[in-house]
Amino acid sequence: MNAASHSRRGFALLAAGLVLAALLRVSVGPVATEEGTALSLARPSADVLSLRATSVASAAAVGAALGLAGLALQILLRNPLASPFVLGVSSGAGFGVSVVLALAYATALPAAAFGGELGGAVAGALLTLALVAWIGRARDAADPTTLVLAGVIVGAMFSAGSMLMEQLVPFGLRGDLLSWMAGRLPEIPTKGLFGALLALLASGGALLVARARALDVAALSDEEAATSGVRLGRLRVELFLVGGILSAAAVAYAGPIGFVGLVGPHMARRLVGPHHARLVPAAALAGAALLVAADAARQCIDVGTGRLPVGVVTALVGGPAFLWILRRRPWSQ
Amino acid sequence: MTGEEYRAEIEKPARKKGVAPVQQMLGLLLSVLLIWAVFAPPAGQGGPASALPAAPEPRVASTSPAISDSLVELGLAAHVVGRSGYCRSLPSTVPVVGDLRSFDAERLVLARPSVLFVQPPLAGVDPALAEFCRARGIEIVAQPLDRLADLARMAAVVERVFATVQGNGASPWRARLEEIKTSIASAPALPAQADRVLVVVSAEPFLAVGRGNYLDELLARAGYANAVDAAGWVELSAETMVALAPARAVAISETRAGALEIANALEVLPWRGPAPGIAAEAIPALLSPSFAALSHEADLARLLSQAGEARQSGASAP
Amino acid sequence: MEPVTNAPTDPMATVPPSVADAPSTDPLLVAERLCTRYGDTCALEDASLRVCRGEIWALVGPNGCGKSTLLRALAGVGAGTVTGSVRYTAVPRSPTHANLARARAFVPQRPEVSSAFTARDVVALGRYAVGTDPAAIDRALADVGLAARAHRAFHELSGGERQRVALARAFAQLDAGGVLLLDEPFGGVDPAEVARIAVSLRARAERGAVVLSLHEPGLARAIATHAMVLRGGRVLAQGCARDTLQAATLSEAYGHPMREIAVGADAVAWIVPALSIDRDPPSAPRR
Repeated sequence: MNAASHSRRGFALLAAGLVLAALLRVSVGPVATEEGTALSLARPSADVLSLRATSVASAAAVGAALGLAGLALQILLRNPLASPFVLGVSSGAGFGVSVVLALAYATALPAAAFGGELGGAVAGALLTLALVAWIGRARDAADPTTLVLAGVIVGAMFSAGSMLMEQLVPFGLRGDLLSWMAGRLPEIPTKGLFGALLALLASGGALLVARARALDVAALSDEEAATSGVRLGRLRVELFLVGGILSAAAVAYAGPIGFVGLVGPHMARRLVGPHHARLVPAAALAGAALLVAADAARQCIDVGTGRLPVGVVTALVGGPAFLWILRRRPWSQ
Repeated sequence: MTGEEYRAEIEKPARKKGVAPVQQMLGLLLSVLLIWAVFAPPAGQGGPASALPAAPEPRVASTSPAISDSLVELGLAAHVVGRSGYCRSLPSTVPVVGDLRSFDAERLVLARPSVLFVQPPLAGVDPALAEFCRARGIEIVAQPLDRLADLARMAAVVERVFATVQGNGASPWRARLEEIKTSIASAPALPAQADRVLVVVSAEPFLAVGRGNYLDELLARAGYANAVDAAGWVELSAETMVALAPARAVAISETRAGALEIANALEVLPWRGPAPGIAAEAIPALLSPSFAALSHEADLARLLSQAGEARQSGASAP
Repeated sequence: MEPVTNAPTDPMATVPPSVADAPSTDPLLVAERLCTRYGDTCALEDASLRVCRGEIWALVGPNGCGKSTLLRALAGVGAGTVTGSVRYTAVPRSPTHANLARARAFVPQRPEVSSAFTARDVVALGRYAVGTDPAAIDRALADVGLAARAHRAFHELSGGERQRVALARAFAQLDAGGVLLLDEPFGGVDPAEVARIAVSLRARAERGAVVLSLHEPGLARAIATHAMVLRGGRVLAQGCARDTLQAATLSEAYGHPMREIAVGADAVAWIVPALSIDRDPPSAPRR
């Protein structure tokens, strides 16, 4: 099979996976019985259809954002194990949330007065990005190791900061942060937020597609890429911004959800090949498919104490997917 | 292979050995959609309302274990159509509609309560939940439950919500609510020489009852002073506890084993001077800010006097 | 272009005498007083170079003498602080990245590719600044003798083949009058491929120029038209290859006595390090 039809098949597989997962998600849900509620596979009635459709749309958008962010950071850091949260964004967002909660408790004002959990998450994530960028620039900006280290350090600092903030809140009221960190996909449409996420997703994706040829060249060593006519410095900044802002948006919207940004780009690479003109949309599609599938799987699991957070299920779905990818290809590819 | 041949190879379309992969996928998808549309049963034959488990009006849901315990205590459990996963006092056939910090929209739709009781988390009631309930005509009652005054307010709310329930004159729960309100309203004064007491609910780390807590207020009504000054539930180190030098220490836990564990941990502390009298018991109802806790006020008083006896006899009571 | 045959050929037998003795007109690259500092250490001091069309420059010297540093400074990708001036005459004063890419191409010692590209894909990457041109890619692959293996994944290729793919990429990138900057292109490459690469470099040098660094002084004598000998970041000698690559200069550079061995009558002498078996008296100060 030649390269072009191989990638067409890959896209078809991804799209099919996304549609099937969405169908499953929309069809499975609780129905009332004499014994309470039970899960069943059925066409949804109108009033739950909007809930489930919103969940699918959220999952697709967040998954696509995570897939793109993961791809951008894997290229920037030259590290196939980079995930959207390697720069510490999720820890920073968690810190922002914990600060808002502590302030709400200390001043007895509602959390909405400080921007709510969302405002805290956004502020924390952006602050993390700024710090990591600043630390990374202070030394040799071209060295990916520096950025990774900066992300690890800043992430660790903010994690510790979150724990400190938690201590400022009385014992019975802790656990809000932990609940936020489990991640959840909104079922109630909040149009402004969703629109913002879509806008960021579209612009980030468009930028990456526009730079597709330069991203191909970036697979060479730094010196070869720089002397091939690629403006490597500008490309790095763009990758950092796209990766950082998309992961910040995803974290602010749905909390930290792991594995999708790590596995999505690899799945896409395996299915459509290494050329970025195809890889960028495929990574977004793969991320969306993974997260919708995880949400569908979560819907089918009934633990008895309520719904599982989707972040738990992404590991269950993403782990085997990652193993399958590793099995078939040498790691250097 | 020359470059020309190679280029021809990668640019030529796939050999037509059957249907192209994209068409295959599309065909598969269409068949799945067709099967789904035709054979998947539509949800809720006859509409969702008729399939709901029957419950008397008003239908209420509660995502707070403390509030659920209160409703069960009053004998109103039949009205509860939605609970949290941790409300063990309600039967497991009642669907889980969420917990203190998140909610399950679909199950809430199925349960169709007219009132949803929540204990607001630190971030306030989730605006999405508020919007959802507003759109479906569900009233949200967000009642924090920290102190006895909160319980009094809770009693007033329950009276209002269940006002439409036909009772034959004085229903037992209405009477109980009146009792609760009068009991809370009457606050006996603290005697001048009140013993200082430490109420511990967990060992490793030691978690004690602080000020401004419903248990603290129950303690005061029983006639004792709280040895701890800080507010809320307080984590104490062993040193701090020794420094507090309480006259009595009581351990309350969910299980008997837990209570004994706390008592043993308290006993081996290096108390200065005479050790406090230690008493331990499993009284789970006291550990949640509910009407049930009020019902067990006498148990608390009994436990405290046991601790006093233990101090006088110089040994700890089991 | 020289046809590539299987029989080993003597590279020097095909040197057109006109190239070796051409007067230095038509400079393509002029570098003046290049210095590279890493903090307090000076890796390269006061190197000046003038590369004209048709020249193949060999940079020779021991490890750490500044060959790679000089190449990177010429390419414009030098780490550390670089002072001095580098000017490619084919591009305007403040060149765009694209212009510069067409005027000079750099191939590092160990080319690496971190994606699953085929050899042909990698060569195609060289056309980033210029635009795709399948004919140019074909030509570049044919130049290095990899047309038959172009569809193989880069990772499946041997070290020497990878070197040639990177070279082909540089060929595809450059205009006809471009300068090739190669860091140790013959490191770990077996003799047949050395010959092949040398032949394609010779061909490129007809209209452009090549600057490459070498460990083997003898190979430098065979391939290059001009040479620069470095030691400890300083230039010991530079000029025409035959004159610069003399045993005495090289002994000083390497800190080890070097001998000339004549290979057949009328052929260029090969320079080798003196082995103790020959009991040569040390004629140069030890390092």
